[in-house]
Amino acid sequence: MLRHALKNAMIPVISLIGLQMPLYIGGSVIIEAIFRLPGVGLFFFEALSKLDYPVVQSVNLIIAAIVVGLNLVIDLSYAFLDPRIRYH
Amino acid sequence: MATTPASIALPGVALPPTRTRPWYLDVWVQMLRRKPLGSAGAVIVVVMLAAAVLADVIVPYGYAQTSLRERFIAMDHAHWLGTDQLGRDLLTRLIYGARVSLYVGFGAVGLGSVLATLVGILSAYFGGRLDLLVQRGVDAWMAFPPLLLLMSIMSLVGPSAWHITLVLGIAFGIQNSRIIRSVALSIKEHTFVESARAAGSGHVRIAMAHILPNVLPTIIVVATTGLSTVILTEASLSFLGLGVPPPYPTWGGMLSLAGLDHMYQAPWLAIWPAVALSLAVFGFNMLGDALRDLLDPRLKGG
Repeated sequence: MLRHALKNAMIPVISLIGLQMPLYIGGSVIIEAIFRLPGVGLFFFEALSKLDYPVVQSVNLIIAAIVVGLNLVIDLSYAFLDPRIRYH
Repeated sequence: MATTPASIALPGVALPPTRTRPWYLDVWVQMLRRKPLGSAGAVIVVVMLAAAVLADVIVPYGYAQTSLRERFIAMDHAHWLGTDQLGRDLLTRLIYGARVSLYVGFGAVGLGSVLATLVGILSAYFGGRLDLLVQRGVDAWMAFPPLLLLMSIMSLVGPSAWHITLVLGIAFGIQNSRIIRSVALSIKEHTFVESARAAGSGHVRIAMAHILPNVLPTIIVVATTGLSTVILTEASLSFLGLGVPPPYPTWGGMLSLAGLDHMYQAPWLAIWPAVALSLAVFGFNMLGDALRDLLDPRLKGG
């Protein structure tokens, strides 16, 4: 079951991860702002309120790069999870 | 498939003998009959709309009318939901907050739907290089976490009700143009589009008279389900101080300015805006779900 069922069932799950990831990063900014948790979100929010645009730009860029990279990994893992999918 | 959307009839249910109702009225009758939860959502939406439109008539106080002798009242006959740290009536502010939420919500969704339809149909209809160019642009937009991008843009243009409507509308339009495009792509391949082209219709006529009416149900569904997201995003941005500026009450702003600071001594300041927000989101979601079930011929059930 682990080997056959789980592997095939994982495909929609990981594609969902790729889609939801940006939303939750956005949500984490708000949570960090509410509870003053020291993270990238709070860093970003404080940069915003100080109009520190280089920081705002680089946080956006880094997170976008993470999201794109994650989606690439997810696309490639389809081939691992389902050998019928091949990339040429 | 004709150029008007397929009638919404259940398989196995006999059609009424006279079908004089146009399809958009039929949707509501069907919904009352088959979707009690969706109807509840519609009732919430209608009540909110009425409250927002009639705000000036039905509330006894001004939204910025302070009364320092009546601070932090929990609930009494004069202030039904209590007052905040400046003695402003909470119910009044909630009703005016509904006006902002609906103004921004409907404005942004209206603007976004027009934009999404325009971009989606153009991209699907002409295809080729234009499609490729537009879709890579949409890809680039979607790589950014939406809230992060919206916060950056809002801090650039400055907080105001007009700006947030514009920014949320554009974001909504770009994201949903992908959905409209995929629907328009499949409609483009139908034979009635081909026959219209063979009959000599121009691009504009085919897009307006044949593709648009068939995309319309999808647009309605996308818009109603998107409304709750837009309202929630507006509340998040207002909460962070990037939405509608303070003297005017917004649910998000009430949560952060009054609710968060006085949460322990006056919990109702946080509870009631949150309840209003949850109710609004619940109402729009239920309405959108019911409309999707009724308007989307591929999804039956639920």
